[in-house]
Amino acid sequence: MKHWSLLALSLASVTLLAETCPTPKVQKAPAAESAKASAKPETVIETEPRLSSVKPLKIEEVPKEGCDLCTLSKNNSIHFQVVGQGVAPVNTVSPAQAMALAKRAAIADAYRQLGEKICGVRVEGRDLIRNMMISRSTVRTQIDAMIRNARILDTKFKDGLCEVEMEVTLDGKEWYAKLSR
Amino acid sequence: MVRKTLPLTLLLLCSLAAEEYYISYTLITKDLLAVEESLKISRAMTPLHGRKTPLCRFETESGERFERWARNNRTRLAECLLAHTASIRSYSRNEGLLHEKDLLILTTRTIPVQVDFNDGLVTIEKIQ
Repeated sequence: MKHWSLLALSLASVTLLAETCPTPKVQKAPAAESAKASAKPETVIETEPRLSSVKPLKIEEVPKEGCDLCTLSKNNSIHFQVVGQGVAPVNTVSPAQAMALAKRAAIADAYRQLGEKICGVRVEGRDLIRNMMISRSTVRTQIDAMIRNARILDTKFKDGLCEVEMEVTLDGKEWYAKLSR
Repeated sequence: MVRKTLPLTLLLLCSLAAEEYYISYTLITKDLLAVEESLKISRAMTPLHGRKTPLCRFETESGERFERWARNNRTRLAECLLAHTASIRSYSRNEGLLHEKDLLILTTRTIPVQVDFNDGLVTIEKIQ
């Protein structure tokens, strides 16, 4: 009889415990997500590497006409055209003298520009640093050139400024060997 | 006979009348201002021989001496000489993004030339 009573008591306590303990709430995931989660990640073995499908980049070719115009070769010629500027000095005897001197200066400036283009410029830069700061920055440029057969196309005077338009043509047959040294 | 030899004689006389000189030209500008210009002409002390290349030809009113003509027509003569050969030396200096000095020397080499005054024309030829 005791055995039966003890068994009944234990069963009742178990049921009581089961009712009092809160069961964890599990949120139901959507069907698709749950399917994805449950599914194993796919392993894809590629038979051919993907790089083989990438096409090589095409390098755009420089148009030949433009290149012929900008680079001197044995078979072509280059045309240079510049505008030189000169200023009339203030202390002159007459306006004619001022104009003549302005034109001289403009011619010299035009020759300088042609020299820059044909023979290049030597540039020298100097920075003086004191106490970790630049205290002086100097740039010096130098040109040493010889120009032959330059032509003056036009001369303009305006407000004390003279502008001389000048041109020179470099023939590759004559100058390519000398300038390419 | 005289008719045949006359043009030849005149041509010979003209060539004998031609004078030979050495010419050089220098122009110095500072900051786009012409500060010094020199045109040096010297008569050749000995006769010059060689191939002649025409440099330029100008119109003139009277048959004056070349030295005087060159003094009065300095610009035209300088342009002619510079068109033939011009040597440029330029020195520029910038300090802290400011332009400071600009010196430009434009020169022509001293070249021997033959000058002819004929029929209101001055013909200058380079002797090589």
